[in-house]
Amino acid sequence: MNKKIISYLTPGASIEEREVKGLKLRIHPTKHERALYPFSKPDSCPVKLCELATIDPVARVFFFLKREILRVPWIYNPLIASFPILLPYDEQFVDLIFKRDKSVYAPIEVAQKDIDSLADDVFKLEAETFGLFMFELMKDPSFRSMLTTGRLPKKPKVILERLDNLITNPATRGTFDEILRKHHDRLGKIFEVLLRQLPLISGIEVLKEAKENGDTLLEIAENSVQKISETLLRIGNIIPLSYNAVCLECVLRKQLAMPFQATLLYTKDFSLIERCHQCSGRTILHRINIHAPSDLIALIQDERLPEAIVGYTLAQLEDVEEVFIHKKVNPVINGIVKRGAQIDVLAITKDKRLIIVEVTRQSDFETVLNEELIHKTTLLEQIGLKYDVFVCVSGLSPKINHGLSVIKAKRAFLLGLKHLSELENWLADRLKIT
Amino acid sequence: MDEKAFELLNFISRRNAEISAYDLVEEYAEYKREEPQRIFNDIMRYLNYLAGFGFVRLESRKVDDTYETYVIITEEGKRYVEHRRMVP
Repeated sequence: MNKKIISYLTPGASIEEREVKGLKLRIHPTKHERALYPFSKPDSCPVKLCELATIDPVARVFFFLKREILRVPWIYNPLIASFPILLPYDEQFVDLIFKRDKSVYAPIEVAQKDIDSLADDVFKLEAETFGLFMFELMKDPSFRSMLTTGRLPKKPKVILERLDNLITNPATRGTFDEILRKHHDRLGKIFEVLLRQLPLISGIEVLKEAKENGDTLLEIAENSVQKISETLLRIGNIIPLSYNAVCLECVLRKQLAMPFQATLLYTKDFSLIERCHQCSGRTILHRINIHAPSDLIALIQDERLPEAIVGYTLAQLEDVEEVFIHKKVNPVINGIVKRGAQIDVLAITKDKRLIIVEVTRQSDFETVLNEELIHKTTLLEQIGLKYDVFVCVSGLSPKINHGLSVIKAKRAFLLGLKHLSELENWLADRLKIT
Repeated sequence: MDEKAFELLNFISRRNAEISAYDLVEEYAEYKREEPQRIFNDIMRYLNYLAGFGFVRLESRKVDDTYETYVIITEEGKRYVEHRRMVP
């Protein structure tokens, strides 16, 4: 564990004081401190993930990608961060999907109808099975007499035994088998919708995000799917991953009755499927699902993990002496404690220069510029917190942000995902000239 | 339904107001006479589990320049607690 990193301060107790070029800083824990506690344990998942992100640029960028948070009623891992990814694909074909072209869109409409009617189908199925069971039970005199007398047996066991007799009796067994056969047949169709149509529809809904995520990963991994697979394998060795792949060409272009789909649960043996095993198409929609262990839940849902990843990356620099993650910082000017600000990452160099980093997964340029960079630098100016470098690390696509956006007068820099992947080098160069 | 998660749902339903997940941990720890840090991860897990059932909604809000999760009990959550009170 990197000793330069100060990620957890005891809530309500610890206050750190530092002096940076005549400016005194009081550093407090924030309200969200408890979420950072796992960073004080060297073997915790968050520490392992951040350590991986410092050496693996693809892993670093991965946690800034667009994702959905899914919550499932499973007590051990109820939070799933799901990342849709489209790797090398047929651009013309994907354009047709975006345009909702009739040639490819019909199966999506059918799938949507199936999903919309899913709840009704389940109710109908259960009602029908229950009705048919009741009908058969009512043929039995003992059940009928319960209705006419209105008297129930003293114990449910009596009914269950009677029921068991009816079901196992060779004379009536066939009828119950027939009811169950019908039930299973319809249940199969429901599973088909859950297993095939649901991943397709949920995937189409996030296709734009999947395309952006895939483009980003390929850019960072120098177009090597192998490199991305290796990173995911490393992540999968730290936290449980599951993986789903649907071939969109099988489903939408060739409209095969049995389209290619693969699911891997909690796997450590991981490799992204590059070509469809059925139609050889390359437009495969991948979903990487991270099943968050309990010490990672708050860090993911409140966006602390990207901050920690940036903090750990900065701590690699020789010049950097200390890195604070997500703290409230008050400048002390002329002995007066001024209004403070929440700082995502604060780094102090050996020669007492102050680096402040704002971290966001936001990828819209206007939002990042106005709501993150300008807003924060203005606030810092107002409270008198003087820095040497201000960096806003954002989720801006590596393709649209090759050049750095700089507000020179404020020594403020806006970085995207390409810069994040080489942040330590960029910052080392910056420190040489600042 | 996990009994410890249900106990938390019961507590949330009695409060019947939106609350930051972090404030909820502090209040719940005081109620249970536990150390907040000791129960923090479990509470986060239970909240997400309850959200999986649709009994609470977890809403990410930006407060003081930073994201924070708020917990809101849903009508289904209230009905479930009511039902469990009638049928233990």
